[in-house]
Amino acid sequence: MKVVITSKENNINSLVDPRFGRAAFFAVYDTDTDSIEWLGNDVVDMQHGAGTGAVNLLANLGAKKIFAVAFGAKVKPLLDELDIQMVIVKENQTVANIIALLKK
Amino acid sequence: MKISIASGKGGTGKTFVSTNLFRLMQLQQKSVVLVDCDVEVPNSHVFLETTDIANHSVTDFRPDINLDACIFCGKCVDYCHFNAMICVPGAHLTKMVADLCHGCTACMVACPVGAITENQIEVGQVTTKVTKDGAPLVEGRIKVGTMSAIPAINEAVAYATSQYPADYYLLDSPPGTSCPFIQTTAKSDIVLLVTEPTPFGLSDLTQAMDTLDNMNKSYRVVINRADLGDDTMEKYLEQRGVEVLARIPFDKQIAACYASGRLVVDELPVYRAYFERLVEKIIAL
Repeated sequence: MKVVITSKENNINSLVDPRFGRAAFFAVYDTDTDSIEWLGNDVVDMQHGAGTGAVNLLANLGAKKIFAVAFGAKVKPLLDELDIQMVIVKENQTVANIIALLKK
Repeated sequence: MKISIASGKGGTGKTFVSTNLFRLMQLQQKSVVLVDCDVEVPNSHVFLETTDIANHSVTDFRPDINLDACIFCGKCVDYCHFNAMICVPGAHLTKMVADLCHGCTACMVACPVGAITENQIEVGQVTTKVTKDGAPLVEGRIKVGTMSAIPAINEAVAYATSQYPADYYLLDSPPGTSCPFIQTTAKSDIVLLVTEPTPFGLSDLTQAMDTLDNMNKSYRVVINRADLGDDTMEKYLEQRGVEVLARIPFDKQIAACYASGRLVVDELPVYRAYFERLVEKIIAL
């Protein structure tokens, strides 16, 4: 299963990025292979609809679960419709922490 | 002659200048129509005793997506400049996010199989009000939550100019220098930029002038609360070669008059004279 974690930097010790649509990076963690792919967020500079753009990107990757500090009002119904689980985490979490929790 | 009354900064006195010019030109028996293009918060009517005489809806394009015909190619997503479309083949879903759609029709053009067709939704209203002297005030107003103010602005100006032939159209413009400002000023022959001599006023005025220079639009400046601050703005305008058509002082009497919803051209003869000189200068342009 592919799981996405918003991330400030493209390394495992980075803190989660508090923004969803405008997160600097998305860590795409595959629970089956225990591998991480780092995606730079190319919609981060969009004036409008960064959240929708991010949903389009991540849904097409096959993400089933997204960890972020907050999800915007336009994003929630889309993720619900796409059956992608939203998991809200605290800002002081690192990507490594969340992956460790997933492995438990 | 179409005259936009605009500014960069909000709260400088666009509506104050528009409504007083409108009233004075009526008193002078000029043929004049006021168009309230500040469609997010149209408030010119607050200062004028008017009666509603006509009203119609403004509609805008929204895509209608036929999922049975959709081949989930994602072209509509690529074409959409506003990230209003998502397309997830795996979930058998192509969807428009209404809050982001600007009604540009690019998705319909993009679709290679005709799965996207035209739907029109109501995005606002255009209302005509008349003053007791019979001069029309045409007001655009968008529905709360509508992404783009442009359809309502376009319709208000088009309706006013086609239905009410006049010598002068005053377009009370929205604040800022983005699309609503550009759409309004683009329709006018001359732009009056209302500003105030503060750092914010100058910064936003500069942006407005730069934008109008890019559009090759002719403009003049009205400095409101002209005796506030220092002479930075005057010096800047002189250096840039921009003509100032009026300097209206900062006076509690004006503020009190405006706050009670009245017009200085009716209430304060000394300021009526300011507007008389302004009208003369506009007509001479």
